[in-house]
Amino acid sequence: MTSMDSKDDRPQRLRRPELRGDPITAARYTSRDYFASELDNVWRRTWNIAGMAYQAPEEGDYLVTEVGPESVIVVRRADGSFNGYLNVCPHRGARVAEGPYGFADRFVCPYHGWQFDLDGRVVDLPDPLDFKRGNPCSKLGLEAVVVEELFGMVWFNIDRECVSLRDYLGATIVEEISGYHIEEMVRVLDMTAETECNWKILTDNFNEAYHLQVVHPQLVPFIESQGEFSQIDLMQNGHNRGWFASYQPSALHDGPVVEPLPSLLAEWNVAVPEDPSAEVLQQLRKEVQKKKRELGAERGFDHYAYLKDYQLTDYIIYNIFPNSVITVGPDGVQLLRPRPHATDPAQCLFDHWWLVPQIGGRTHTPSPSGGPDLPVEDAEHEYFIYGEQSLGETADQDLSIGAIQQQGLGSVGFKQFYLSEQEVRLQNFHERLDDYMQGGVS
Amino acid sequence: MDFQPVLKISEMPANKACLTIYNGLEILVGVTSKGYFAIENKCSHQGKPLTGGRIRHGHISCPVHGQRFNLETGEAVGRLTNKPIKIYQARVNEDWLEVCEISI
Repeated sequence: MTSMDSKDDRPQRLRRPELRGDPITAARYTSRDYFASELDNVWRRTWNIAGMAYQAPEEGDYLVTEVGPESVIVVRRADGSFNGYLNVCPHRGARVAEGPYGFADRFVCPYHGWQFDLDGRVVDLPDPLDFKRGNPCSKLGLEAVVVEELFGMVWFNIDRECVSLRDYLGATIVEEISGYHIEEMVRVLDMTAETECNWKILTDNFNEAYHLQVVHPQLVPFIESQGEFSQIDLMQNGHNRGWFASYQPSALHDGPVVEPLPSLLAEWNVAVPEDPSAEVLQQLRKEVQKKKRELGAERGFDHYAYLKDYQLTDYIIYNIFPNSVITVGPDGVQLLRPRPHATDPAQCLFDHWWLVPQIGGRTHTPSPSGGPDLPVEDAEHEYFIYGEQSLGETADQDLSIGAIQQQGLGSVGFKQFYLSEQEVRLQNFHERLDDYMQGGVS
Repeated sequence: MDFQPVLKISEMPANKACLTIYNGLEILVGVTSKGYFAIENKCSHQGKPLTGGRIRHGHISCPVHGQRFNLETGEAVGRLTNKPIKIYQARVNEDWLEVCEISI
């Protein structure tokens, strides 16, 4: 084994599943019938994230998340575990809890005052004996969903027959992301933007780095996207992983070393040599890893003790089917997540979270949204329409293609995707989507 | 109207709404990272007391339906009502929190 392939220098390569070559046409982005069917076949059957567990520290604290027309409540119970329910009163269908978070000793429907305990049962209501079909108490309740806690996040699945979250994600994702100890981090950015495109346009975007050189030229000087120091792996259930080395210029980068690379290196006492060759530049990343091991603890970067060498410098993106895109870096974790609109295939809600570990006594951390540094404390949720406010430079760039691609896909001029090898993760994703849509996933 | 003392500062744990009386009316007072607050103990949605409502990010959640209210402005956040709750001026005078009607 050469040092290049050592376990600590890059993620272990995974055996690539066979792909069928299903055609990917526009209907899945534009058709209302497809959208309606997707709600049943995908959204009501797959795992999604409700929020951070620490947002609901005490009994009765709850979080509400919308996915398409569904609204899901997860609530902390006395024993510390979470219950989950569809947010709908069994009486006449009103929502019983307001989001994005709150607390309740009992959920009380705002319409007729039916009361539900934290186990979802109707426990009180006005005029309980006025029902010919029987007193609703102890007879009716909120519809339960499956809830699990992982990576410091609360996850739910509307399908009560679903496989466990750990089986759904697979051991590689569970082990690797667990290694970052997200449960010890704090979410310093929490944004949702209404966006004018189908949710898959954004997951597609996060499923390939081919666009990086065009859409995100600012990343090329310090992040690899397609050379020797990157790797993509397809996984079971339509998930995938991408590895992109950092602290070195991309193979696509031309000319002298430019910012932010010298600053990133200088932070760890690594200098850029005069007229460096490509080979020399590729060694700098190893130097940074060494320095981080050496100096990390004394500088308060306690979390480096958890990380493998490559994780000290590089970015790994986990695209979790259908829509949870988790990018881990040495000093933070990002969630990029489009959720389907309640009724319209040509719209979605885009979530952007940024979570950071506690580093020494630092009270502020650089913002991925490009603004001033963010305080290291739980951020209030911001909700806006894309374009009204920045989601961060890179995320804004990603979303800038949303509406133009959505519009183009509505044209007879578009036939089907014509994908490069570096876009193979899209193919894997869409074939899994086809499996779900054809009812072929048990 | 003058400021009146309503509660000792030492009796106000952070991020808790404490029930007290001002001019014969129930009010809730407390302290968050954003400062001291004083609000009427009545939700503008269905008129129930806000007592026991938990405080997060400078807002109190009504314990009945989860409607939230900004503790500095009284502004309602959520879909159940747009109507603000009544707020009072709050200030510290030595060991006491003092409260006063906001003059219009």
